[in-house]
Amino acid sequence: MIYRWLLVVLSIAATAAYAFAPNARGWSTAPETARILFFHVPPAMLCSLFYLWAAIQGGVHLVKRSPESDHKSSAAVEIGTLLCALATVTGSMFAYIQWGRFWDWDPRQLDIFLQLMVYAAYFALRSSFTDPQRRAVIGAAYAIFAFVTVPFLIWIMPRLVALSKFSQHAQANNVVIGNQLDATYRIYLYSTAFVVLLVACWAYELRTRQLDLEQQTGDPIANRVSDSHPAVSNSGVVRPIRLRSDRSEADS
Amino acid sequence: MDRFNALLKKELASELRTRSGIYSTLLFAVLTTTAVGFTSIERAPSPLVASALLWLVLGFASVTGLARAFIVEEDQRTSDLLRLLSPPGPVFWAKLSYNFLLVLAVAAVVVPLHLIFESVHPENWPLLIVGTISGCGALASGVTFCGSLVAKSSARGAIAGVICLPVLLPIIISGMGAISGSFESSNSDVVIGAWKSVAALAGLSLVFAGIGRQLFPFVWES
Repeated sequence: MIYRWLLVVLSIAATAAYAFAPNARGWSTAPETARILFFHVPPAMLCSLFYLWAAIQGGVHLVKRSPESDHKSSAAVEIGTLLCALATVTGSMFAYIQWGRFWDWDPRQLDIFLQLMVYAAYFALRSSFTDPQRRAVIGAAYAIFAFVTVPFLIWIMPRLVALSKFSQHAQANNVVIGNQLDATYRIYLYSTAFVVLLVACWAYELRTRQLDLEQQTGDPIANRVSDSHPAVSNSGVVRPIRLRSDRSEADS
Repeated sequence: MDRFNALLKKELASELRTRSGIYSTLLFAVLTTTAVGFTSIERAPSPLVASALLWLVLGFASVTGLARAFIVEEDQRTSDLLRLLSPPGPVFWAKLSYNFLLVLAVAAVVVPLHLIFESVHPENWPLLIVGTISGCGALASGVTFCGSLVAKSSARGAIAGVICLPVLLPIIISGMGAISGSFESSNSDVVIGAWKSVAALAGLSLVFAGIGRQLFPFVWES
């Protein structure tokens, strides 16, 4: 409940920040579009946090083999990938406005897109296993292995000479990372990042609960929603629901 | 160590018996190098483009050939026997070493062919050789672990490339930096940067092999 109230208050604050933020100084073209920073930088920063959490929960799953940790790892990859996709799209819009092209082979642009590709493979891998236990183990192992590439892509790859000479982003990155941002913008940026983090955590919690419920009942969530509706529940359709203990006996 | 030697001998012996892996991987690599060589019909590509094309060929050839290491065991139904005979550690190192030798053999054919087709002349041979070997190590360790992940999948043949390629992209990017530096030794900044790329490749090889080794028992016994 506290999530929701905090979210409402902070969303109003973020919207106000977006509306009242002054035009950026020192931008060659369209200074008013600098506000895209509020929606581009937070997802780019936060997706790595979710990938780290996915790797940690993957490690927990490999040790304890608990379905909950698999759900947490899988949900974290889903939310991280959503944020990564958002960062890629807003980054392309940003590149188009500033440099006239949606894709510029900028190392920062490339690293976020490569992260998206590495984690998109996670879903392809999971979907290729029908046995839930094996799917969970393989997914957990890949979540850890894939995370190895994240520090490389964020810190090492943009500094490799072959790519860094194409960097158009270096100045923009230094402004954000090197703490050269105007004080007003800094406050707005961090407050928006906090809102994005809260929304992402809320979505993560809902997704984890959904996966836990699906695992407990063995029934798709859509069926349970229709069961709760009087018109559907009185239709005489009986859906078999197995309890967890029954299923584990049946599996064994 | 005895188990590792025995398993590596077994890998090499079973490969030499049919030679299907080395033939298909080499042929694939040579055909791709030829196709990629069409880009230089009009004029020779820049060092960066030439090295990108080389790593593209090596990356795709690795996915085609190296991911087979574990898939073959599942197809021939010998993986259970392997599990009974040996703990996971020696199996992983033997497969990784075999894959490393295979990708080195492919690189030994593809790199000279690529230099001829693309009309590029290396000015820094040590950088070219060390960069290629480091890159091959990274490709072998990345693909070996990804191959073990997909081996028990229902669509292992189709999914292997999809899983391996995203992990190989950072290797291809570092490899581009390493090899392009060997084509232009006049610029000292580029050469220093290229050696940094070689260090990145060596680091990726070690990290992929180390993490892969730690995770492999969970995957192998799942």
